[in-house]
Amino acid sequence: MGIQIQILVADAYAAIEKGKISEAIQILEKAITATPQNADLYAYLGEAYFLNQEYIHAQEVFLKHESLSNHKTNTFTPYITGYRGCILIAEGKIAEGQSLLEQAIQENAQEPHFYYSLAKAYFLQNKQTIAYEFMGKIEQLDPCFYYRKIQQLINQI
Amino acid sequence: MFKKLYAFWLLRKIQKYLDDPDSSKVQAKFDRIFQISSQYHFAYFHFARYWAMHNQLDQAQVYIAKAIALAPKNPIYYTFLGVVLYQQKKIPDAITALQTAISFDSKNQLTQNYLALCRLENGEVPEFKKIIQSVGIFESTQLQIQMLWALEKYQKNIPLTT
Repeated sequence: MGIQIQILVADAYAAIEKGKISEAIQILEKAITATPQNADLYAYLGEAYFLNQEYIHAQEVFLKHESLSNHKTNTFTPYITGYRGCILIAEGKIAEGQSLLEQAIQENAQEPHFYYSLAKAYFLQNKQTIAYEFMGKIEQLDPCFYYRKIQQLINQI
Repeated sequence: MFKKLYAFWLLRKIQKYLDDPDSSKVQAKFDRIFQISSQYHFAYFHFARYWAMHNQLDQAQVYIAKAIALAPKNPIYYTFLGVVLYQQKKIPDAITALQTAISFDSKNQLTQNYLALCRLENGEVPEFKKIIQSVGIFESTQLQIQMLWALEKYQKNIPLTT
């Protein structure tokens, strides 16, 4: 990855940290315009789309990532599996989403959103004890996750 | 005076048993305190906390009511009662308890957050938002998880009292 592209990716993740997801998407799209054959960028963009709740776009760019990587397993694979699981749970397909998320976590993808979606799946099935176990893992990975998620949900109602 | 000091000392000693699921053993220890100082409302509060920690919310309610009877102006006790009632999904009673706590101490962020949660459970979204915007979100894992689930349920149109 060229230095210019690396800077753009760093800028995109800095924007994500500040909660400016749309800005991050624009930056990543710019990076893709410059190097459209860079498979990694589609994985990053997919994550940004997921965070912006643009699930259809996320799925599209994850497919693009896979096609550019010739469908070979890489470091992004468990994360893409996890995000697909989160999307399925957001769409109400609990069992399918749960299965993908458990697979992603088993493959060592450590991402608070995965634990949150899995906790949500168990919570929706009234399995509160397991839900709380997964919520506890989020706190270890990102102590501010709950706070940001609450703010996000409040802004949506 | 010495009785109260002794009861205080015993209560401090009991703290290490609060994780003990053997309630008969813990009950015996608290009974000893109540015998020494039956007016020691703080001990009733701690025993209520013990029951709440072990998810025995009816028992928690009994003991926090005793603490309140002895110290009817303590906002912490009303907040605790409000939280217990919230967990039992007795929302109107929880609101009453939390509002009483706020009438004694309007600056307690935890009390205000639980009141906000009750408003959300009642579908009073503008009231919920108004409280949170005014006081912020309290730094408590338990409260934040409860708030997240309440918000998720509200968004998914799941009856909040389930």
